[in-house]
Amino acid sequence: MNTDINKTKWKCRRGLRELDLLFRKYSEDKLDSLSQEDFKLFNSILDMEDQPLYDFIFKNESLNSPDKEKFILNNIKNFTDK
Amino acid sequence: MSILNSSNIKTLEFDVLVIGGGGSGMRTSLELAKSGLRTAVVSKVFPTRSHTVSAQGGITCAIASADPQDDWRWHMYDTVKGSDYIGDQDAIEYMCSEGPKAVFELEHMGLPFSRTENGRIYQRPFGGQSKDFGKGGQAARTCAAADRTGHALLHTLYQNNVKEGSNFLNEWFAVDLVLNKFKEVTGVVAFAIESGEVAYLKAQATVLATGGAGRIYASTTNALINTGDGLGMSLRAGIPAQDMEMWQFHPTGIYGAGSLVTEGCRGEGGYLINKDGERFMERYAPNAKDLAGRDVVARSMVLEILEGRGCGEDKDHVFLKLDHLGADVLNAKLPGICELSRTFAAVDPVYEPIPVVPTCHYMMGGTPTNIHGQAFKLSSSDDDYIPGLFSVGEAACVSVHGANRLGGNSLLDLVVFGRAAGLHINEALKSGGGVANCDNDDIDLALHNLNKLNESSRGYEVSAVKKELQEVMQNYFGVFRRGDYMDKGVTALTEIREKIENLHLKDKSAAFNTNRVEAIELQNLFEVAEATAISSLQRTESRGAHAREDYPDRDDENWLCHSLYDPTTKVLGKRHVNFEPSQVDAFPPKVRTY
Ligand SMILES: Cc1cc2nc3c(=O)[nH]c(=O)nc-3n(C[C@H](O)[C@H](O)[C@H](O)COP(=O)(O)OP(=O)(O)OC[C@H]3O[C@@H](n4cnc5c(N)ncnc54)[C@H](O)[C@@H]3O)c2cc1C
Repeated sequence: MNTDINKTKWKCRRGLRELDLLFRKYSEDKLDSLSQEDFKLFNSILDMEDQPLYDFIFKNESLNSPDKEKFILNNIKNFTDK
Repeated sequence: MSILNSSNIKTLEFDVLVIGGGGSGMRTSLELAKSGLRTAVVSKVFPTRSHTVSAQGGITCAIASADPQDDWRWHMYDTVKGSDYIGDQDAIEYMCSEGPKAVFELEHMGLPFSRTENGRIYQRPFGGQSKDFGKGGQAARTCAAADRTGHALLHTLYQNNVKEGSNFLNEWFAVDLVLNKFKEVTGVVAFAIESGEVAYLKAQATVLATGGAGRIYASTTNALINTGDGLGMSLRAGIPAQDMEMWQFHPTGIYGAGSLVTEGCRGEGGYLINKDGERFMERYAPNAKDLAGRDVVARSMVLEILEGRGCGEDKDHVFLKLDHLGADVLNAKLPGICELSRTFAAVDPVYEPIPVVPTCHYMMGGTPTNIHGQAFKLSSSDDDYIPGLFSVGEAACVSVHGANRLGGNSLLDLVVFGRAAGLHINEALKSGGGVANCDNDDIDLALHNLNKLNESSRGYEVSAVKKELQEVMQNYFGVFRRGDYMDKGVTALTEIREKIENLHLKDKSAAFNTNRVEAIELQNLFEVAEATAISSLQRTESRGAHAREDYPDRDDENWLCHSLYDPTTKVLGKRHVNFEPSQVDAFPPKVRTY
C-alpha cells in the first residue's frame, strides 16, 4: 500500500501549476484516509492528461465521465494550497 | 542499500541521450530518430506531462498569415529589442528566419492550429510585437491551437517520435553527468522512479533539455517539476552558466497563488490599474501601454506598489481590469480566465478586477550554446565546446531571449533549436565525431552524491530547506534588486549550502520514493539559485529583467555582454554578444521605449 500511495503522490506532479496546486494539497491531506473505491477513482483521474483536466476544471468542458467529474467538483476543485 | 558503483549498476547504451521529453527534447529526438540514430529520451514525468503543456498562449512566428506583409526581419527586430540588446543576433536571425519552416513542419506533422474564417492559421497579438521595425503598430504574430498549443505540440511530437522509433525511458530521473578524463560528457547516471534501479546511460552525445527552474522562487507560475535539473548537473560538473541574473517575471500572476493570467487578457483589451483606479501603464509606456515588454510592465507594477499605490490591505498587488469587456467577450475569447480567478483569487472578473503581481515565469539564462546546441566551455573562444554535451530549450542559453523573452518566443526556440541540434548531432556522429569511453572511476564519481544521500543517517529536512531557499531568492533577488540586500542574500545562501550538502533522506525505499527525487531536485535548485544570486550581484547595471535600484541605468560601455558564471570559482566573467547576423545589418543598441 505504501508503494501505491507513493506512486499516487508522484502522479500528482503535473505539467501545469494549477493542477499541482489542486492535487498536491488534496493528496497530502486525504490520501491516507481514502476508501479503496475513492483511491481508485482518484488514480484514474490522475492517469488523465493535464489539458482535459484543466479544461474541465476551468472551462467546464466535459470529461465524459460523470464519476470523475463529480469527484473533482466535490473534492478537489476548491482544495488549493495557495 | 549497498553503495552503488560502476560494477553493481547496469549500463544502457545509445547513440544519443536526450534528457527531457518536453517540446525541445522531443523536437531534438525526432530529428535524430528520423536519421536512424539510436536515441533515448529520458524523462522524469511522462513526456506529454512536461511543462510545455503550460504554454497555452502559442508560438510566435512571422508566417505572414494574419498579415500577409509580415516579415521575419520585423520579428527579429522585436526580439533583439526585447532582449535589451544582449540576445545574440546570429541566433535570433536563425530563429526568426528558420521559424516559418519549423512551424509549417509542425502543421504537416499534424499540429491542429486554429484557423481564421478563410482557413489560414490564426495568429494573436502578444506584447512586444510590432510591424515595420517598431513603426507600424501592433502585430499579431502568435500562432495558436486554441488555448492548448503546448498540449498540441507535445502530442504531435510524441506521436511522431513513436513513429520514428525513439526510445523512451519514462519516469527515469537523471542524477549527474558522467565525464571522462578528457572532460568529455559520456552520459549520465540515472534511476527508474518506479523501481529505484540505477543505471549508467551511455551515449556519444548527451542533450540537456530539462526545462526551467522557476521553483527557485517562492512565487512562480512554474509547476513543481521545474527544478533546473540539467543545469544543476552541469554546474556540479563545473560547466558554466550564462546570463543567470535574467529571470522573467510575468506581470500577471494571480496574487497568492502564482497561477498565470495570460497576456491575451491585455491583448483583448484588459488593463492594469492601481489603488486609485488609474491605468498606470499609460504613464510608463505611452504607446504600447499594457502590451509593452514583460519586464517593462512588471517593473512598472512594482514601482506602483513601492510608491504606495498598490491595492489591497497590504498594498502589495495591483488589479487587472477585465469587467469592461463584458461576460460574452470574456467567455468567448478568454475561456477559463473567469474560473481560474474564481478558484485561486475568489474573484469573478466579470464584475471585479483580478488581484495580480509579477511572478517568476521564465529563465532566460542557462547553459551557453551555439546555434547547433553545442555547449561552450569557460573560455573566450567561440569554438571551444565541451565534447559530447548539448543543450536546448529553456535549459539552454543560445541566446535568443537575452535579458527579456517575448511571449510565444519560447516555443519557437524549442522547435527551431531542437531541430538544429538534431541535424548537427546527426551529421557530427555520422562523420565520425563522438567521445572516448569513460573509466569506472568516472562513473563512481557521478554516483557520489546519490550514495551520500542514500547513506545519510541524519541532517537537514528537504522541505524546510527548500522553503528557506525560495524565500531568500524571493526577498533578495526578485523584480527589484539592490547591492546591500543581495549581499545579505548571498550570505544566507552560503549558510543554506551547508544544509544542501547535508540533507537527510529518511525514507530509503526504492519504488516511487518521492523524497529521494525531491532531495536531488532541491540540490539542483540550489545550484541554479546560487548562480542567479552571484550573477545578479555582480552585473552592476539595469537591463531587461535585471533591474537594480542602485544601478538604475543600462551601462552599454561595461555590460553590453553576456555574463558567464563559473561554478568552480563562483566568479562572474563576460562573453561577447554576437552582432553579426548574416542576412541583415545588425540592429545597434537603442534606448528601449514602448
Ligand atoms: C504558465 C506558463 C505559460 C507559458 N506560455 C507560453 C506560451 O504561450 N508560449 C511560449 O512560447 N512559451 C510559454 N511558456 C514558456 C514555455 O512553456 C517553456 O519555456 C517551455 O515549454 C520549456 O520547454 P522545454 O522543452 O525546455 O522544457 P519542459 O517542457 O519543461 O520539459 C522538461 C523535460 O525535462 C524532463 N526532466 C527534467 N529534469 C529531469 C531529470 N532530472 N531527469 C529526467 N528528466 C528530466 C521533464 O520530465 C520534462 O520532460 C510558458 C510558461 C509557463 C510557466
